[in-house]
Amino acid sequence: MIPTRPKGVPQIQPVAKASSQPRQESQLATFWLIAAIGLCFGIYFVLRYGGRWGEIDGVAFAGIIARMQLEGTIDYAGAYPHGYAYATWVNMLSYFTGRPIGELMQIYTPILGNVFLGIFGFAAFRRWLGSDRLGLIAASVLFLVPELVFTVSRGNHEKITVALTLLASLGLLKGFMEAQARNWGLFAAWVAVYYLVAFTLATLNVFFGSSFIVASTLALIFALLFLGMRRHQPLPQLRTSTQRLALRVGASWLLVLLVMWYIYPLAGQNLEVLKTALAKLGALALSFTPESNPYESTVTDWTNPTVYKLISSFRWILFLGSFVAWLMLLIPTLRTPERASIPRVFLLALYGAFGFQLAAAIPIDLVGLEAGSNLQVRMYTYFAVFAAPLFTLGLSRLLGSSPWHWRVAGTAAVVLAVLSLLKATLDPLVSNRWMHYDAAEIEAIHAWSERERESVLWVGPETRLYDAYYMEYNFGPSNLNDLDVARRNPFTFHTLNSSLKQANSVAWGFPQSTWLLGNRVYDNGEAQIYHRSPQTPFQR
Amino acid sequence: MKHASLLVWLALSLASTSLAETATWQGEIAGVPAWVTVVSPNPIPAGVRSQPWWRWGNAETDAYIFAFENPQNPRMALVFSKTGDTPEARLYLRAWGALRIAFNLQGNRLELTNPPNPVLTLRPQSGGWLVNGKPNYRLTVLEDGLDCDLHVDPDGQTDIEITVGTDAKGDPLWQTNRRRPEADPYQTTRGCERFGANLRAQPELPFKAAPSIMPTFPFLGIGRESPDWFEQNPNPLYLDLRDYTFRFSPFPGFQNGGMYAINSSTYPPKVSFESPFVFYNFDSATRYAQLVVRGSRFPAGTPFGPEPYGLERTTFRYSWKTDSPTVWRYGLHLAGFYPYQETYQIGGQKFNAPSPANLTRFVVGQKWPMISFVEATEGYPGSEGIYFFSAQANEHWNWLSGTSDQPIAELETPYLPKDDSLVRTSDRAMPPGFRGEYSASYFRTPLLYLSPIDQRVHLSWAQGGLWNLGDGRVLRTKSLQAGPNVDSWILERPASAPPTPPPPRAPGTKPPAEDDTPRAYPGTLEQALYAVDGYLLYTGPDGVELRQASYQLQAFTLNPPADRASWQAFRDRVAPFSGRDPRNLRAWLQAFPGAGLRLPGAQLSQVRIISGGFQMVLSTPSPVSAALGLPNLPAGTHLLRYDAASRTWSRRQAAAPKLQGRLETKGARQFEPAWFRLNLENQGSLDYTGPAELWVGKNLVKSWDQLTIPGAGKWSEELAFSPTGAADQPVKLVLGKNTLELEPVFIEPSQRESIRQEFSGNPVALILLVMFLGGGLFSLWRAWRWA
Repeated sequence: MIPTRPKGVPQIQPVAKASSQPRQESQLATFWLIAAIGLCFGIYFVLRYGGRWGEIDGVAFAGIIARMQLEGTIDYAGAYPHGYAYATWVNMLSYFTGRPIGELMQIYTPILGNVFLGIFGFAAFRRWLGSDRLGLIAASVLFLVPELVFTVSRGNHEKITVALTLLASLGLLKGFMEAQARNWGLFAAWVAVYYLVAFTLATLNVFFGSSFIVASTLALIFALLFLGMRRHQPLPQLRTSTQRLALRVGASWLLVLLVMWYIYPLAGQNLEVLKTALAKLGALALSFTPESNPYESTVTDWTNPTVYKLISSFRWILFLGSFVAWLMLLIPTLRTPERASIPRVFLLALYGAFGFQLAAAIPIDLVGLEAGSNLQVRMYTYFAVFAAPLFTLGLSRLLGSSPWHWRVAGTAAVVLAVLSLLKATLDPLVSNRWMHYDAAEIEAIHAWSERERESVLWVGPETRLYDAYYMEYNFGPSNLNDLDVARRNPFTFHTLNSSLKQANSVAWGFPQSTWLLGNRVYDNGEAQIYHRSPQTPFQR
Repeated sequence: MKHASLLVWLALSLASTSLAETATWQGEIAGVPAWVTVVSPNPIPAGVRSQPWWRWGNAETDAYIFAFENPQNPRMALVFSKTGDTPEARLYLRAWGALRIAFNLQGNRLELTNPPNPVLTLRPQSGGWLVNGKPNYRLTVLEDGLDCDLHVDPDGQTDIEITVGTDAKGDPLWQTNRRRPEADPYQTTRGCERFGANLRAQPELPFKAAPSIMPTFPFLGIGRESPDWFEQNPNPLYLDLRDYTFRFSPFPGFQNGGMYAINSSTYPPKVSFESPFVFYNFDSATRYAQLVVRGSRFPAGTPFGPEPYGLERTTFRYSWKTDSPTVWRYGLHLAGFYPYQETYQIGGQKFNAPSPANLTRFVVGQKWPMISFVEATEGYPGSEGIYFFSAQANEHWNWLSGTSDQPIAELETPYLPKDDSLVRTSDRAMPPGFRGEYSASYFRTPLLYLSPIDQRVHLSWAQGGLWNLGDGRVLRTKSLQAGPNVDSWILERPASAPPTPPPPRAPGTKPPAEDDTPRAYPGTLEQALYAVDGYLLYTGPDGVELRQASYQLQAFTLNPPADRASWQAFRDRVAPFSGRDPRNLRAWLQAFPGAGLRLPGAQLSQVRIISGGFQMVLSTPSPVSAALGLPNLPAGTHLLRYDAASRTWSRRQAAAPKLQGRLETKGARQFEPAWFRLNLENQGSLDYTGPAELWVGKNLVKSWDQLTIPGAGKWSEELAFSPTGAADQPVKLVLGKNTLELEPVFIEPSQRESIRQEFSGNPVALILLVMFLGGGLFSLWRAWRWA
């Protein structure tokens, strides 16, 4: 039985405290340590390819941000339909620093994203777990999740969304704690922080930004159901907190609606996505025929299935570990709710709620929404954020106070961190879907684009060079030229080759285009452009 | 609804009985009971009420409401007004006549409520509706109710502005239609008519128009007739009472002889789509056209027509008549990249297009990259020419733009529909009774000739041809010499499937509807006739006949008609030739007397041109004595070669094809493209002809629908290919049901790049990377140690 403590005191005593020679590190040092982890991970992500990397979300946001800069307004034709805050933030950084959007997204924001993950994770978890050290471990666990490292490093809004979700959870928790402690000034401050963060989340991405509010709503429903079943028990603390939570949830939804209907009506389209999702789910339930398979590329994207399983192993460790811990904590909480602390109850409820959202994403992915078929991956990052503290609680219970146990665990964490970085950076050692490129490749595309008009360049069967060009230039090639990917457009007459592209072809097992036997019309030493040899009187 | 009708009836009755200014004429128009309510600010004298309805009011201030079958069925309202000396007519229709109109009539106050806006507003540019007793065709017409090309109810905003001009006699000479850009939200997205023009390009031809039902407004017609432009122009405004459809026709003319039209999906000066569409009349005794030239033109950058939009896309359908005034006989279809340099003007509108005088030379006077020629052996009716087997088909633009390495297969194997109904694939089809020839790489000025062998007109330098005989058989024509003239005619029954099955469709995708239409796939030979080196070689079910004869492959050349004189010359030259029976090729020999050899039961095949002569394979069931210079032939199959210089034959025993070969390459590397050379040798004396597939390991390198390896000959082809297998890869040539194993080829394996290779050029980057990785991992380890 795990002991419980009243009023905001952590339920599980950090077992490490009971170690024979506990190291007394100051809070500040702990903060710097987690910041250093974030900084090093961020810098590694950037330096791995010398800042030359690209991926599809980054491409999309580079275009969105650049277009916003061009239009001078957040509401323009073709604007990002889910929110405006991220594009506005990067634009602000760009104007403030004078650095181009591509450079900010490729070099600076990945570092910021990792540092934010560390420090916001630490700030939230130390409160949720009631211990700086457990908070530190839980925050460092976040870096063992490759999907999370990739999410906060790549070019989209999630580096901010994840950090602010952590801050929202902290705001919610601190609001309750300060109210219990009757520190009304601090209470008001944390309430203000919470709503400010909730509003910002809705403006970042009304869909993913609302996931914490959705989780809070689900937590509220769990609480109401539970209280309904225990209507004969007084449980005053829980009932009061549930009422407060209801107010928070209601007000948060009002903020979301305010954004969707008035501030950024474009985000109202998310309701349509929801409607389509429900309709498709209905169809799936009737036919059991998936329209999309989000797993089909996982086998081919990696050097081999074993490597994929190895680098993805922490995903399952986290799942299993956090779930076991959750069950171990949930059962006594349900049995003796009057002895449960409010932070613990909410942590369990939020974990369950994010797990529920993750489970709901599975059928939605199978129906294949236009918005993407990777909802599971996207929701997993938010789930992982709340799985990390539970995993840490479970781990501390498992490892006990033995320093050797923790050293072994630390060594394992280091190995898992390496695997996490390999996966998060799509390292060529393990991945076939590379995201890096060579400056000479971009130079070749640019030179081609400057000399051609209304022409098409085939850059290969996968999007690496397409993403690279858009990350660098934010928009497509000049002179109405276009880059062609995947199945070759029949109007294409040029293709590109480089040593990196050749290496990537070998990695994928893709045969290179026979057009490379054609006319080499450009060569910068590293990358070449080829023009297809004319086969008919109508080809030039 | 019932009450509304009653109210209308009451209103009409009250108006006609109690108010002097409004009266309803009742009678019949074109045999249909009609009620014409005349609303006038002036009294309608009792004296005129026995006269026709149009005399009850005038065409300046009065209004006319037309109801048919019963008074509750008003379909059209014509409201006149006058500004200064200029009258104006507003025509109200709902759904262009298909639905009843609605109105309020109180005294002499008429208010149209549905539709509240006119579909047409007409006004003379000066004067009244009549000038010197003739209709005043100098008009401005505003049209409302055309959303792109879709009829909608008028919204009060003019969609199209039409201007009509006249010749010296006051007859309509031209008309221009221009869509107002502000009423056009689809300028780059939908290809509707934005600019149109109709010109009587041969004004010497008499103008003839149907009389109006309303002499005071001489443009209106109401009746139950279809327009016959070849008799006379119909009334420009015509309500057809058979189905209550309203037709608004061009004032000068439509597709009758002498007309020049532009139907453009873009604004002048860069006109597109049907620009121009010209109907040349070479026989003033009829109103038919004898030559029709239909341009299909999309200037570079025009976002309509076939892709790619960046190209100049200029194509023509060029059809002419010969013996009958009503049916088209021949057609040329041309495709290329010529821009329009000439500026032509109709009314006040200038645009780039060949003028009527220069158009025919533009089309048949210059070289075209692609061409097809069609003869409708039994004639083809209609006003627009022959649509079939056309180089105008959009599908050709993959080839013409260089995006495809092959012209479309339908040139060689067109659709064979059961009749000449127009469907989506008609431009790639050969209906029964039609024959056609093509060249997908012509680059010549169109030239025709008459072949004395079949007595038919042919396209010079055609790459192939086909005649759909309509009884499940086709007659293929081609030039064995790849020369200007047809020298082989093959009567065959097409197969129901292509020699190489098409790739399987993705699951769930439906085959296109045209897949049900038969195609002229290579099939079973029934008869063949070859004309080579002074010999006529016939083979058929009754045996073989070889004839040494004097013949020409070309009786005379023919230029496509471009004007009255050349059209007449063309007719005169082809008139004596009625063509030979395509189902009996043996009968053709009768016209060419000479020494012959008949070989009953024999079969002739594999006739082909070789250096200095030709060769053929003759299978004879019985021995053949020496004749025609041929040596004695025992029963069996013989490969016979003819040397034209020495006029001698040589014979070899025919031996079945026996292929050997080798695939050669040098330094081919896995995943990287390399040149391979496939060398094949046929050690038999008979040709190998059939499908083939070359495989290296698991990769299909190339497939051939019809690979021909000459008997006792060699064949070689260079192939570009990127192998995916490594080391020794098996090579096989699949020849139909047989497989020929060739020697394996060695492919150099490619290794995945290692991290050492990756950082070999920049070790400092690796050091930095390791530093930060180490820093991060150390921090992490410390964090865990503290616990």
